[in-house]
Amino acid sequence: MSAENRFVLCMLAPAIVILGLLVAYPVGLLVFNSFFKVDTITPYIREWVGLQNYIEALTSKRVAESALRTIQYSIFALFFEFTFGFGAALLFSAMRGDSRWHRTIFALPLMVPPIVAGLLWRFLLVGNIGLLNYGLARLGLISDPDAIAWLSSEDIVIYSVSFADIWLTTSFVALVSYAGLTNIPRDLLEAARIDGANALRRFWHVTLPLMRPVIAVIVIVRGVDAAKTFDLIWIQTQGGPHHASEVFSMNIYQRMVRFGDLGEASASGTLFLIVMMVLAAAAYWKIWRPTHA
Amino acid sequence: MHNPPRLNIGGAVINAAALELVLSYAVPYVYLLMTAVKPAADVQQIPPSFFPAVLSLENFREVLRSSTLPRAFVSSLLVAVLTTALSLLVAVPAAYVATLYRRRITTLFLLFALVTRMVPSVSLGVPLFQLLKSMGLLDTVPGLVLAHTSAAVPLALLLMSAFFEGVPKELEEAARMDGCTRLQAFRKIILPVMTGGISVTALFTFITSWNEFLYALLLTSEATKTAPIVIAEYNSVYGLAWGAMTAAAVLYSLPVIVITLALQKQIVGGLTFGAVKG
Amino acid sequence: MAGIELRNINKVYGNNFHALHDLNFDIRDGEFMVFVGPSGCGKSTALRMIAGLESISSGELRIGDRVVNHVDPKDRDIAMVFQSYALYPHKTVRENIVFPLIMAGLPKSDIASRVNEAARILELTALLDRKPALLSGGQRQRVAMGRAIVRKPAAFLMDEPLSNLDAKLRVQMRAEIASLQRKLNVTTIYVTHDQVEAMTMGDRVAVMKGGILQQVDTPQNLYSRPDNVFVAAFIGSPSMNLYDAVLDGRTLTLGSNSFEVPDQVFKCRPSLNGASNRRVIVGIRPEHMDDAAIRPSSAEISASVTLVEALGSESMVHLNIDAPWVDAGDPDAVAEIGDEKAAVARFSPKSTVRAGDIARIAVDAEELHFFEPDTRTSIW
Repeated sequence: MSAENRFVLCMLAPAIVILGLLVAYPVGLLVFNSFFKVDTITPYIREWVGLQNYIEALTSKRVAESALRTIQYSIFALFFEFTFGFGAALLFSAMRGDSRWHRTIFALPLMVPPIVAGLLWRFLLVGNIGLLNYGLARLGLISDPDAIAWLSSEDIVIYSVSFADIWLTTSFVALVSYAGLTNIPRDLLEAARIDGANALRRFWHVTLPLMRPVIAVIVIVRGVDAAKTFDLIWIQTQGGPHHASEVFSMNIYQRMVRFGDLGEASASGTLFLIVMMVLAAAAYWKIWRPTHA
Repeated sequence: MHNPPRLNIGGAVINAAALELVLSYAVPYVYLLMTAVKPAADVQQIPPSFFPAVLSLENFREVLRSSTLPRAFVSSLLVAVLTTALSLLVAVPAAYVATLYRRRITTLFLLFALVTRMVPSVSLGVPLFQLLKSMGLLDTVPGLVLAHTSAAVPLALLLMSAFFEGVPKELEEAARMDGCTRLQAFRKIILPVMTGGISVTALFTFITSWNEFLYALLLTSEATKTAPIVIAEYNSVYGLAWGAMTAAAVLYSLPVIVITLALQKQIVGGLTFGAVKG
Repeated sequence: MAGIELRNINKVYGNNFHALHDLNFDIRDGEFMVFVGPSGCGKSTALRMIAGLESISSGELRIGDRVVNHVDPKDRDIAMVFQSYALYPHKTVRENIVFPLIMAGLPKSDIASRVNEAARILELTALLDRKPALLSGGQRQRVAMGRAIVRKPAAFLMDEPLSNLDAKLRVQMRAEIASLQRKLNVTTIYVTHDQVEAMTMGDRVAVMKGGILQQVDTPQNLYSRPDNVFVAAFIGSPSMNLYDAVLDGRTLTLGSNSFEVPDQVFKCRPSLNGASNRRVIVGIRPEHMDDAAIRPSSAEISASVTLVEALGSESMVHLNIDAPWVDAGDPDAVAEIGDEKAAVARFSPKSTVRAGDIARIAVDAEELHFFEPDTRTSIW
């Protein structure tokens, strides 16, 4: 092997070992476990059951509901994160003068741990002492502070728990979009303006197409993250009331820890992994759409 | 270029809107601070108030007096520092060759790292539990460090790769002409130039570990409980001790904010991927 | 100080791209050798192979008497100046220059004296404690040179070191580098795409195209005795004008023009004797054409004037000669629109021709070049 190749391999080796041991091996173990009936506490006692865990996972009502809730949560959160974040970025780039301080303060939520954000929003949303309802009542948007039970209503809780997520990551979307917007060459926009395009058309025909890779990154990264969310929702509702806010990741956790069912949890976990990878790949192809296609 | 007066008003509106957006965005966190400095009894008053009637450090005193939170802070800090060190040690050389010695294996490797980011922690948590159990590392600092590293290394790899893209290959070649082996060129020339990028990566790695909840929940119990777990536990142990919880939360979020603001210059410099041309 | 020998050097990349074909020539000890050619000709690749930054696919490379094919760059005793200078941005100028000496393990006193000497030669003494980011382009270039000369290597390699400088600075640095090399008398290989740099700086110049060595010779010989059409057109600006023509005995027919070729030409190129309706490619340099009204000659042709650029010292006259023109094969040359290709002539400033005129052009027939139509090599 040439000296150069030896060098490359040596520099790569620790990372390969770590990722192999801590990611590849566990993933292999995950898939392996999914074919067994095995208890979390006694993993050495196992019984081969083939695809039975998968069938149970795919036919279980609770699992299906948690999958649905994951989708509801993700789409809701992603939509608002994207709209607010991208909008904020547009606002910042349209600002006269320096937006640096604005962006720094806007980045504050990024430095807040998800646990804290979840706690914070729980405090804001909780029935009798939550500030949000009082604020809304003051503004006249709701009749009285108890009108909306953000975290205790089974119908809306799955959306309420996303407020914290939206608050946390709108900053991320805003900052990444802003970076993308500032990278658009001014000449292109000016040329469009000279060609007679108004602000809206310039946005639609010049800015958006050029922002495609950035948008793709944001959607893929945030979309996958939203679907994987655990901490944020857990600290707010622990999956309640009555599993109404139990998303897929929490369902897997319950299965493994509360019910001790390692096999089924692994099957769900594997399914989750596969779906995430497929979605990410699809998003990449559709949105990124390599320009040299 | 002439700016008609119309545009100035528009500009002022935009500026005002931006300011309002930003301030309202900071409000929730400010509220957290406000709540933490209220007397314990006032925290859950009905109707709730934004500002404290009187400033009090009761809540902070209470959480610091307890033995669990300070110890958990130490655990969190230890795990975060060790995770950062290990992740950097592993990711920086790998990202370097992946970027400046591009070949099939390095492209495959980066793709693999990217894919691992897609893996939901909960999917990995299950087998990691088994792995650590079989290694006897459950509820230990090294065990949690390994788990956190599995999440942090892909992030560190992607960040450092982006930073290394800004390094011209000629810099390394000049070093090799000047008497360095490839390894010496990496240590003596490339690394010193990359301190900005490495700082940024270290910061994000630290934050990733510091904020981490799920693995800590799954893989630790009494001995190595980290701060987020203790904070979450205020719920079941004390009922709804909001005062204590908010105080703990403020203390927990402070290190990250402080370090980020302190390293702001490095971060902005790092985010422009350094001006290495020279 | 050492000579460098290239023997049948080939470079094939992983995707089977054959970048260099059987490169075979020597660089003499103390010589200033220039590699020149259009982009993609392989000149940088050849330089990097001598440096050790690219592997050699086949062939032998010697520096001094050593075969160095598999020797690390750091052990080849050569120094390189990069196109982008590649200065260490976190080190001061002094630290940049000192670095190779520290790596070589030289004693401190030696290091100090060498640095001061290099700084003095390159006028960097006042800048020694600055970082590269605070230097101008020209200053950075000199630091890069300082880093190279301080090592007192067997050979200098320079990869287009002047291309990032503005035109005026380039002309100034050209002279400084050339005089520096003469003073230090170190074997130097200099890569450039600019044939003016090649002609003014090199003791000898190696012209390359498509990975193949076209000719290696002194600038004067490249100008007056080019081996093939490409070298003839590449050297000299504006390029040599090339046309298909027919030689019959002593009469050369160039499109609708014909004239007698003087004896001197047949003495230099004996193969041209006894030509009978022989097809040739004829080349006329712009400086060998003038306004026949001012300097009549025995060899005159007619052409229509398309453009006159009066420079004061001379006039560049663009002409349409009614004859089939020949493509020199330079990949960097601007593609012509349509079938017309204007010849360029350098007329005396006293000429009064204007665009649209039909001019009589005096050709210095003793300076005509002749090439075989199929092989495009020179006929001697």
